[in-house]
Amino acid sequence: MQIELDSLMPKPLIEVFSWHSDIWRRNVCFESGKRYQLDAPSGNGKTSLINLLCGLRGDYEGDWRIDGRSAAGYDPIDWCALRRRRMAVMFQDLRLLPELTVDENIRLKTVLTETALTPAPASMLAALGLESLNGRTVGSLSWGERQRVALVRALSQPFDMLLLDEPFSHLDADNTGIACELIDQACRERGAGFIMTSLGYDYPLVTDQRLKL
Amino acid sequence: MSRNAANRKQRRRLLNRVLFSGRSRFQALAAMTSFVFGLVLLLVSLNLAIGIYRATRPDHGMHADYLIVNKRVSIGGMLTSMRPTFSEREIERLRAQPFVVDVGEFTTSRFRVSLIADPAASRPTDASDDVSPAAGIGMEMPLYTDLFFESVPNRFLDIVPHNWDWTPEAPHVPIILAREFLNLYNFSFALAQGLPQIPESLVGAMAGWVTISGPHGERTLPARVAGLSDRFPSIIVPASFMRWGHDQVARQRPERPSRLIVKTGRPADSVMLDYFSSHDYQINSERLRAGQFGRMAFVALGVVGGVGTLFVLLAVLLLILIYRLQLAEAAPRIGLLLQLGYSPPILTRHMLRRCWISVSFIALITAGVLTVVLPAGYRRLHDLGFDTGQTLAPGTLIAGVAVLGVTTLAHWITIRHAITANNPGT
Repeated sequence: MQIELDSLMPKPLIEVFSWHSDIWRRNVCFESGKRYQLDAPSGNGKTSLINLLCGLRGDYEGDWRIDGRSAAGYDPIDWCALRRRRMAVMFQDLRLLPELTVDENIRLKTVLTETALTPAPASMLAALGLESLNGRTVGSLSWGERQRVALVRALSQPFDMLLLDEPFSHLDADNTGIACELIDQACRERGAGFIMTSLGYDYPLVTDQRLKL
Repeated sequence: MSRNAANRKQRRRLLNRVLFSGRSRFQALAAMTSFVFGLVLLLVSLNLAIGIYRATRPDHGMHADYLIVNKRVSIGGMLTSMRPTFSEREIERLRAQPFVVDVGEFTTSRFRVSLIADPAASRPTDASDDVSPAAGIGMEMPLYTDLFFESVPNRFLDIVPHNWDWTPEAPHVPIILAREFLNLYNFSFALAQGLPQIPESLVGAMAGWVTISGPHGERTLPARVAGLSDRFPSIIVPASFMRWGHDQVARQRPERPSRLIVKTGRPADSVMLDYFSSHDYQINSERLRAGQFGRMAFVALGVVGGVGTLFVLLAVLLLILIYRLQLAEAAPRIGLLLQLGYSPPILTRHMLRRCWISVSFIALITAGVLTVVLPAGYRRLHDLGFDTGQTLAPGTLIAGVAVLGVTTLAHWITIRHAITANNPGT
């Protein structure tokens, strides 16, 4: 998968955009085998970019393409298929279903994609210390626990590109390390890459390119 | 169960939990109950109305479609000895009415007719087993009576005996007798006089000699009852015999008809009844009673059906509103499912499937109630004299399917709207 940005600019940022950016209003290309970390303080459009790249917002100037095809040409069904098969997303606000249990939240994804996964969701939950919380509703978990559930859900599907929006913001160092290992493993298994936004911290995760947003 | 099927089942269960978490379940159940109630009212009244319509329609055995019409006999007419006959013009005008399918004239004999019931008459002409009991009746019941004959065009007969085409060479004159006459004899005359009752199966063997006489002489021929009619309160002979009799002994044309038989497509038509009363025509109202009752039943069933339709309409509205409420409650979760990659077709299929299950459930319960209610309705109609048969009319089935179809369609539109409204990025 090849994602090319062509002078892209989210509309809400047009008025305020005044800083140096490697992404906005530039020509950038993300390739599925590679790993990108995008650093920026808050307010520079990290979440906007993630939502834009998975088709959840269409309010932008310029153009961007997936495998040469303009994103403007994708309809809702195309986007859904893309998110189901080729692009996994971990949202900053997690977007879990609080009334469902941990297990149900994960299964909501696995019953949709119907693919055998490595690493298996159960083993990822176990690695992140969530095994005992399996039957609890997500609403009853702490934010840090929820963040780990959201990461497992994002990794429980096939993808060419993984979009991570500040994925470790509420994790301690140990869990961040385990999460990085799982991300690394899942990407290697799939031959996929990731685009991860962060506030500029260093994580135990090898990246091919760090860009300033 | 294959892995895929298990997966799908799990997915359906999860989606149901996410989308319909049960807060409006009781409301939906109440709406479905009133829906079933309305649908039953609508379909039962429709089906019974179709049954009554069929029963009172032409070509059905109730004979409400054949009316015998005559003019009122007035005192003025009695004094002036003017007979209340129908002129050519009056018949043409009647024939032109929209409710009239066909008009036939009764031809009344202008010669005298007398009958002697005589067992000897049957012997040379009929060798069937019926002969001897009939002969016995004849012997026990020596009967002489003055009679009259009428004839009508063959197309108006409810039974046409096999030897009805009479010629002067025929072994006997076939006669069709009103079943009423036989009943009158069996249950009134025979009982009062101590005479034997005659079963219908032996009527065909009742035979005798008919004598017709007029200014130009007299003829005596063997005659036999060829059948019983429910349609004519009269004694009917073949038209060919009637012509022959007039030629032979009366030597004059028959009079203008004083009675007509009218075949109508709409026995319960008020326009028809108004027409007859405004022209001072009388009709055999007994026959019309079923038709008039049918009209009343139509009105009653119309009211019930109207209430049912109203119920169905309100229930569909309620169902849709509740469904919209459910989907509005689920809107953020629909949006989230779309974000996770549950595409609009997947979600639509899932929700439609659920809707289908509800609709099938409604259809099943309605069908169950109908199988109990409809036979009771038929029994009631049967008691009232309607031979409607016990069938589910195709019209009823179509109406039921149409109502359920429209309901499904309305749900589908609601679903589409909910999904489009929650599509991210648009």
